[in-house]
Amino acid sequence: MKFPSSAVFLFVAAGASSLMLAATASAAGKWVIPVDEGTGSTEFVAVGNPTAIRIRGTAERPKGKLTIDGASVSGTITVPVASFDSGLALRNQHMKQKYMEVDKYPDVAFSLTSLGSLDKVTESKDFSSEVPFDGKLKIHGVEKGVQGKAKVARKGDSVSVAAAMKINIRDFNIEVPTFAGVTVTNDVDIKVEFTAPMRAQ
Amino acid sequence: MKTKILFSVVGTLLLSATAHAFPEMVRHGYAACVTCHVSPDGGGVLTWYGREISGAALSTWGGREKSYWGPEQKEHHETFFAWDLITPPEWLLLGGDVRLNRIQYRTQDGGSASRLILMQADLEAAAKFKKLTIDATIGRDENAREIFSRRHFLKYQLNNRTTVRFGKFFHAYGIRMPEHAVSTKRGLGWDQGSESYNIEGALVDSNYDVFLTALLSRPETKGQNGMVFGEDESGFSARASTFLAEKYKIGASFFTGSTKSTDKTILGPFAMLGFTPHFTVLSEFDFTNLKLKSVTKDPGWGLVSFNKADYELIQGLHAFATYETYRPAFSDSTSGVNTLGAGLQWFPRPHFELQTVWKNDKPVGATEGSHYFFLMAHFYP
Repeated sequence: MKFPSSAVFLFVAAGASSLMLAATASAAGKWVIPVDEGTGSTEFVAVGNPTAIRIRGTAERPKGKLTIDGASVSGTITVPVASFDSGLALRNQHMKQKYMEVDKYPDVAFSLTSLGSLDKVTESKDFSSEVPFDGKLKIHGVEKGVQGKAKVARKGDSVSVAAAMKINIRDFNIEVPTFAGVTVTNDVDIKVEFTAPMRAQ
Repeated sequence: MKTKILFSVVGTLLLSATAHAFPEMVRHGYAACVTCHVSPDGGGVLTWYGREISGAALSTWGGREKSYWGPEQKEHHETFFAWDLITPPEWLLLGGDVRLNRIQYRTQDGGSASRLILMQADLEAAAKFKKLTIDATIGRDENAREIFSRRHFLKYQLNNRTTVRFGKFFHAYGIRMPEHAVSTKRGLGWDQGSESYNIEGALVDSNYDVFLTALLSRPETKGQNGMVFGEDESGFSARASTFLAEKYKIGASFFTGSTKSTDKTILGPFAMLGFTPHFTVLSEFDFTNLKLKSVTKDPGWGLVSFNKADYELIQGLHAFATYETYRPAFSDSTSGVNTLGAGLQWFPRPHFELQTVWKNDKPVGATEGSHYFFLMAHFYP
């Protein structure tokens, strides 16, 4: 059976167009970032007064799932308060039990509501930039809007995010930690990093 | 041999008689001494926070393990002054140091002997009135066998970060540490009991600190027979350091001054490195130019150094090794001592410290060094 050359051309052209359309739809379409499946770290830094001590703490890596759907992004990542570690058992107990009230509020949750350059993140498999983000941070049962900048890097099918923000603990109804004459200042720096797969849906 | 034995005994007698700052705490993020001590440069009476940390991070047992906040904050606790048998008002901080040293050394006939010596018995009080703090010790000078005050000063807090201080205390130079007999303390003329009258300005931030000190005078240090150990000294000292990632403190110091017999210029870097919550390295190198006034020839520069690696085996129990160099002048290739040391330090419960140390002093060019050993018990009420 012999096909006319024009039919072959039309078939190839249609196929190619379909593939291109599919690829475009995928790039701009729905993507999932399962943060659970990746690696990462959580860090916080607070300063004590009047004694010039900087307290650098760590916590478990963030867990959760982020979804990119066209121009919008959603999803929540959480970090368990029980995993907070300031380097001293006494201080950990003080922080978690008295101030963070871990039994009542076991997780810190961050819901992402917008992220800059989303189109580039989804379209390019080799992208790296610092982009603004907005979200809602829930600590100690209080949810507040937060903004910051995140370094986002996509390499092939994985994405790395490093976000930093400064919060005022009083905004979250956390009593200012005071112990034996040392008071922690209201501002606490938080840094969250993760690398996770990025999958088209 | 006789000289070696004498050196060992004197060295041991004067070892570890002052105290109280533990720079190894940098491994827990305590790069600034003022977190735990009233003195901006560390040492001496503890703040309330310092007492709690001594139980929580320094001692094997005795820290709070259960809930301790709220109204029960005022509950009796082991870390408080004298186990809370005496409860001073909040504005008054009390402390002190009692040190006993058991020395083992060789006698001239080749045998061995030991002595138990009361090295230090001081009480210290710091009273805070708004921004003004008055701090003073009273104790017994075991060399002169008389009552004296090792340290006393007025401190004024200009703001959260800045203080000015006047009185008798050690000027800030290098690493403030208990080991006063090491080359970077005794070797520089700043041994036990050589606190001077100073005016000091200190800026202590969470990222850095700067100390500027004018040394006005220093009382001569005398023994029972009137022998002078330390001469009057005046000069100027500066020390600045930065804190990197909270657990690394790196800085440099400078001193210029003179005693009756010597003109001194000293400068060099130091580092306190808390590599892990258990492993700390302390290191100080000081280049020295010590000119005797009676000699016209400048001996040129020399070097003293102190290096210590400390590993916390379990909380409160430390194994450590030290290495010191003392080269008063590079131009004199026969003068100097290298000292290797090792020991164990244990803080079983708040208020108690035990230390056992072996050291080997080896003069430059010698094939054999002299060994000495001591066991020290320290009680800080």
